Amino acid sequence: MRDGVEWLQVTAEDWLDVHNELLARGAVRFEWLTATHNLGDAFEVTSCVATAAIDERWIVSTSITASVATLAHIYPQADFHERETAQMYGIAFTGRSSTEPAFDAPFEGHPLRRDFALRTRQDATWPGAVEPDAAARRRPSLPPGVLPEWNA
Amino acid sequence: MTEPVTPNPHSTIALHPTSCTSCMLCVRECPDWCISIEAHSEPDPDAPAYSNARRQSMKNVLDTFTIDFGQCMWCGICIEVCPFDALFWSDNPMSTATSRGQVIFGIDELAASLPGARRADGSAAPAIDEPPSGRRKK
Amino acid sequence: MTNQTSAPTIRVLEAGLACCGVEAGAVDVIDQALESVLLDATVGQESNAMAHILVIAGTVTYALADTVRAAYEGLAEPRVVIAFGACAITGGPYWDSYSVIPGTDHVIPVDFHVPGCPPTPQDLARALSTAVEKVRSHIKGSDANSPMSQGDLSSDEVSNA
Repeated sequence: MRDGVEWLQVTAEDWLDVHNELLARGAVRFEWLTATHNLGDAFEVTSCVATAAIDERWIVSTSITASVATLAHIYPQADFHERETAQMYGIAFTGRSSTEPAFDAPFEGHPLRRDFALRTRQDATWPGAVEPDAAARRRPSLPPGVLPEWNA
Repeated sequence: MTEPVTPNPHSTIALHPTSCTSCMLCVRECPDWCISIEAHSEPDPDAPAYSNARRQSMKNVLDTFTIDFGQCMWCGICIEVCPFDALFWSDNPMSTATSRGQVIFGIDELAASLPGARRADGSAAPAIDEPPSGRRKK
Repeated sequence: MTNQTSAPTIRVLEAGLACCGVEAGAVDVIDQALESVLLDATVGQESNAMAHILVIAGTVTYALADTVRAAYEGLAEPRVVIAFGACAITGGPYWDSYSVIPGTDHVIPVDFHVPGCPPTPQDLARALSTAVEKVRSHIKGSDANSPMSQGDLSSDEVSNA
């Protein structure tokens, strides 16, 4: 416990059970749920639950490759967070009858994945490509944050 | 010892043109890609002539240096990363512009901010006609 | 409402879209004839009528593009748009984001660009002075002796449209 927050790392199989236990312990407030994409198939899903007085909080994380159990049946507020996370990361929440997108999207795909192509960045001319010394035979600098698989 | 002066966080960035070696570090480190340099290389007249030199010593000559202040977020990475102390925070205020082009500053506008510019220790930045003061071969 | 010089009230629509909205909201009323109204989503309300100046203070996202366009079209002539801050000018640090339009001028024409991240409230006050003067002189034909023309914005920084 640090500053009233306890950080838990659990397996995907235990995800639902851990939250049921926390709920039984008084964590009746669902604060948020989000994810991190660590490239490829590696995702981290993180939730935050708290007591009604918010004097104790738990931040629970699990590492997954594609899907994790839904919390919406025990925490109704998790519904919107799971819809947003599914839309932004392409993660599936099992046990839900449907996962509608959280909002109208001016984009295709899952934008918070690290390999999501940032078209504006890809199309922009990187000023750092300039090499003043024309005779220099160095490896050319590449623009940061532009992945080769975006097919620039 | 002068007190370190906290620069006005909404001030501007000054360039000391003769200190710049066109190393391209500020251009490449700027997170917003708002700095552009055009430069070319010329044979360096001050380089010693080595009989076993594999190629001629060259030096970079700065042609244009622009900062797009419509993109700049005042992070200061360019000022920190410059190995030759060519960039400084300046107290000159940023003014409102009526066209998009007026917020893109070239060498002349950036050098015009030198009088209000300060080094990290609070002392004054060099004037435009002063020699380079950063780390250089000579 | 008129001020002491009997100049007409110039209303300003302040679109506080992101952090720059905090700085814009801190502008002291420098002239009693400057009346700010906050932007709300239902543009075209009577309270928004007669606003001449639109201040875009923050990041313009795709989701807000229609609202910004509607706010501009709801302005009374002559219309003046001030892009306040890096996000409003070019998208700023978020220029490459999936949800951000890289600059207000992709949506509506911009008359004044105030660089900064964020700029100071004083920067906005100076830009508003010039914008108000521009609106007043267009409405009245010309009023060279108005208090706004003695502002500290030097004439070579701002070219007349």
